[in-house]
Amino acid sequence: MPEAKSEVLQGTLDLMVLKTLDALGPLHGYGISRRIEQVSEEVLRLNEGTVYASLLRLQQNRWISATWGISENNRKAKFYAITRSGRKQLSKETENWQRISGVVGRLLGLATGR
Amino acid sequence: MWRLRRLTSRIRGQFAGGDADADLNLEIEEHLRTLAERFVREGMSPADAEHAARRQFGGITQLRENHRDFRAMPFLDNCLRDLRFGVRLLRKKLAFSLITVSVLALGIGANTAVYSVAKGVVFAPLPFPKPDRLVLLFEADPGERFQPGRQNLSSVRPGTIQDWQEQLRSFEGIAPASDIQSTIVEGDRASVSYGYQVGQGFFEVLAVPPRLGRSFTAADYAADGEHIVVLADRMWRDRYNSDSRIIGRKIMLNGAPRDVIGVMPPGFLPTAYGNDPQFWIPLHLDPAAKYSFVTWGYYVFARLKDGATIAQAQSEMDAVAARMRGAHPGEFEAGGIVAPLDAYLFANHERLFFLLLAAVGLVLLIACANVANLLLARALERQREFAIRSALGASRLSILRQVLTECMVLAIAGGVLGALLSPLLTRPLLALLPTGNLPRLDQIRIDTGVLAFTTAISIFAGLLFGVVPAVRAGRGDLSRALREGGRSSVSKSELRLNDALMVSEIALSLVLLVSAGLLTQTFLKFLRADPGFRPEQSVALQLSIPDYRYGIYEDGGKNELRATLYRRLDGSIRSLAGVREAGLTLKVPILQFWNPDDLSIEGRPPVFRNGSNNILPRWGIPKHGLVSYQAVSPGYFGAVGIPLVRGRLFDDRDRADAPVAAVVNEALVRQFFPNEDPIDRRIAVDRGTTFLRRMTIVGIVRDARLDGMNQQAQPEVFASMAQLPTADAWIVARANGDAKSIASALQKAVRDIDPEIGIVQQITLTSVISDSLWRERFSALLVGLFAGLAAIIAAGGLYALISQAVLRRTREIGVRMALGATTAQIARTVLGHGFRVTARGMLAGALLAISTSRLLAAQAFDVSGLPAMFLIVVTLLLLLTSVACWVPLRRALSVDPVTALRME
Repeated sequence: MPEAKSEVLQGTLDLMVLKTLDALGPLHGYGISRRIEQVSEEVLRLNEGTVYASLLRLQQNRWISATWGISENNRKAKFYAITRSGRKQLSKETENWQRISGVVGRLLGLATGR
Repeated sequence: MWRLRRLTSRIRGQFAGGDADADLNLEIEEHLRTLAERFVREGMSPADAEHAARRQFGGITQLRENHRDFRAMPFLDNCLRDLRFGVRLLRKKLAFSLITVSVLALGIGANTAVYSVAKGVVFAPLPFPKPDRLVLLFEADPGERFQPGRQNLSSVRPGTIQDWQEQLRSFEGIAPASDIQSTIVEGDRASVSYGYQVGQGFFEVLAVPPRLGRSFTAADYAADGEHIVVLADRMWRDRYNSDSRIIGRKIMLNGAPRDVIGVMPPGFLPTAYGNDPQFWIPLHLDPAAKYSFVTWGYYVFARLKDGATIAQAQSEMDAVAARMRGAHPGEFEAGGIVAPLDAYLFANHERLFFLLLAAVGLVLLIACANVANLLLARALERQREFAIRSALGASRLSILRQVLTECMVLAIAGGVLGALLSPLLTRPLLALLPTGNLPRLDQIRIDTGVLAFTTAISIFAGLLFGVVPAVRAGRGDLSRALREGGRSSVSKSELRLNDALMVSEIALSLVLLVSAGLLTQTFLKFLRADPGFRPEQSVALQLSIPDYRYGIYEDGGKNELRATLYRRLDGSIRSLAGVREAGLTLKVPILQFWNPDDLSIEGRPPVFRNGSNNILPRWGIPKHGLVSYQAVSPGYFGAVGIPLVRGRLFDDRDRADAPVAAVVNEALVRQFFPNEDPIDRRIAVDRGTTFLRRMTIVGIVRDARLDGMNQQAQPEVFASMAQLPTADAWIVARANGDAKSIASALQKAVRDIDPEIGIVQQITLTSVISDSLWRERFSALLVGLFAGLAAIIAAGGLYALISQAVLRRTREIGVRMALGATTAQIARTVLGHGFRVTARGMLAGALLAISTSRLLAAQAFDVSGLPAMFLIVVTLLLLLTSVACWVPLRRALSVDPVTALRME
């Protein structure tokens, strides 16, 4: 299963998508891609297609919901919005991420400063 | 939690297919267009912008596939696809599929049929709560232990029951029961039902509440509960049409009215042996009998306390018995046995059914090997298909899955057909069983448990015959298979596998055939053994003589009513037209079982053995050994056909007031009077009653197998019915013509004397013999049937194998013929293959059969004819091999070299 191989990256992307939807409200896939591009400032090279894989996963867990709507350039687009359980998941994952990145950061800091 | 959520979305996704794909496409398109528009705004040419957008988006096809996989359950999808493909393929190869499915259906159907009977009769738990806690208690020799399969254990005496109830602590309840016959008179006909007199706590021990009314309470036992009865479901249904107003009604049992107070549910048939009880009445022991060690005849049901084991209960029983031996010297010298109820009732039959299940299981194994071989041959044909599939990117796993799915389709089809077939097989199976010998025959049905078994063996069979071709299919050499342009190429190892499967089929068939032969031999040996009497033309009627008309009666005591009745009966049946000889008897050959009494020979000193002087405690005379005792009227010997050797038989001299005469058999003379003349010697037999039988030997008769065809004659004492009448009696009569011709005349004679005398059963002595061998006959017939089936399946497999070999070698045969090979040389090649396989199979089978015969010998089957049986079976198999090879051989010999060489 491809899911198992790239778990960390997927998890990270899922977290970013959730955070984006939490911060900006309902958004379509293109918008989410733009937002991640903007924030990552070219550090992250992202195949924008993977955002859709992430969206499907989040949907299946009922962390986000999807409705069809009209985009800003007046075309049909699917809008994704974070759900209540999605927010819960986001805060859990954020905390988790901060703890782990803190540990990893400390570990890396120790390693260089020996 | 989220796993479940994801699963439900996936299941929904499985069925929402089309829409979701379209949605995704729309989203992707929209995304690409917007992105491209942005690049154009940033100054790219539209064509470049489109490319850049696609690049930035990444693999679209991959995304779509991933999406599809995640959205639904691709495995299920693929399996369904494989399934559809498999079914289509099997429909295309209809002949192949029909053969495979019917072979499997036969195997699975036979297994299902045998299992359903086995489950109904022995494997189903007893219909009582916590049945593993229920035991029967028996008196036995001190230190004796329960052995599964032994059923003729000694009954229990009232005094023993009292002591056990007071002293044993391992049990929640201990309740005695004794079987009684009851005559129920309706119109001018009396019929007989079996029931139990049961002690207080009986229904509590079995822990089953009545379906209607109530069972006996302590109050019933405290009061005189003579007037109440609880009915079994069958009696309630058959005799009282399931009338729910039965409670409170009076019915006549043994000439006395009783109120029906309850009806037990169906299946509530606690029994210590044989007959299913039809009713229960309270057991009252009068105070004098309560502590008596004189009369026997009680069965004791008990329920173990939670946590107590059989072993603990047994060791407590040993301790209590030791105390009792100290407390009642000369009266209680026994020990006790704690026997699990289910093992006691079913162990015998369990072994029989394990034997049958093993035999029928072998048939299924052979069928599986056969199907595997057919599939393997087809897998070779399909090598190219699999090669193309893997060239197009199918993984080995997916090919494996496809082959296995096809096998499962075959197996399930075989299973369904087998399940439909099994009731047709069950019916003749049951017809082979004499009624009354197996418990719970009416509870055999194809229920969910049986269907679960069928499903399990179907899947097991599918895996078994599917795994070899599946692994093969995945392993094919891709380039070679493609290069060879579809001409199947077969490696040596594949041929070896084919042969090995065939060898195992033949080996297993041989084991079955040899076993069937040995079982048949055992059956025939017993059937043809000289019984020592002449059963042809003789018929026996079991009478039930109602106590309420002829008095409660102790065996051998004085009872003028009964003596008169016997005299009248005897005279009446002897004068009937068509009756050559007739008499009354306590026991009937074969149906009597070895239930010995102590013998004492007058004027012979006591024998000191096992540290005891062997004195009969109540009579103060020495005991010299065990004999079987019965009382007969003069016509018995002629009617059964036991010839006189010396002295005389009973006649009119042996009146009630004359000295009591005895006739003994040769076995008794051999054992007790090896160097003396027994005529005129005086003997005594202790029947364990208040009355000692003292007799003078007047004649010697020839030995007969009265205790069973598989038993040697035991020492036997016959007394005269006129001098020592018995409580129970049979009529035996020999006809001038056919045995059945006199049966109705005999019945009428009995009814004319007293219509209230019940006729319990009526049988010919020939059928008594063959019924007594039902176990041997049943197993011989069934295993024989399975062996025949196995041999036919194996022969069919061999035919297919050799045919394929010939087909594969057509070109080679053509070349050889062109080069001048003779017909004989070609025949040798083809037949050589067939016989080589058969020979190996027979060798392997012979080794297996030898160990199987050891198992059979341990089950008391006669295996002395093993070498002869091998000879017969080997000849039979060689014959089958020749037949199986015949058609392919002819095809090989008719090969035209020119055509064969052109064939590409």
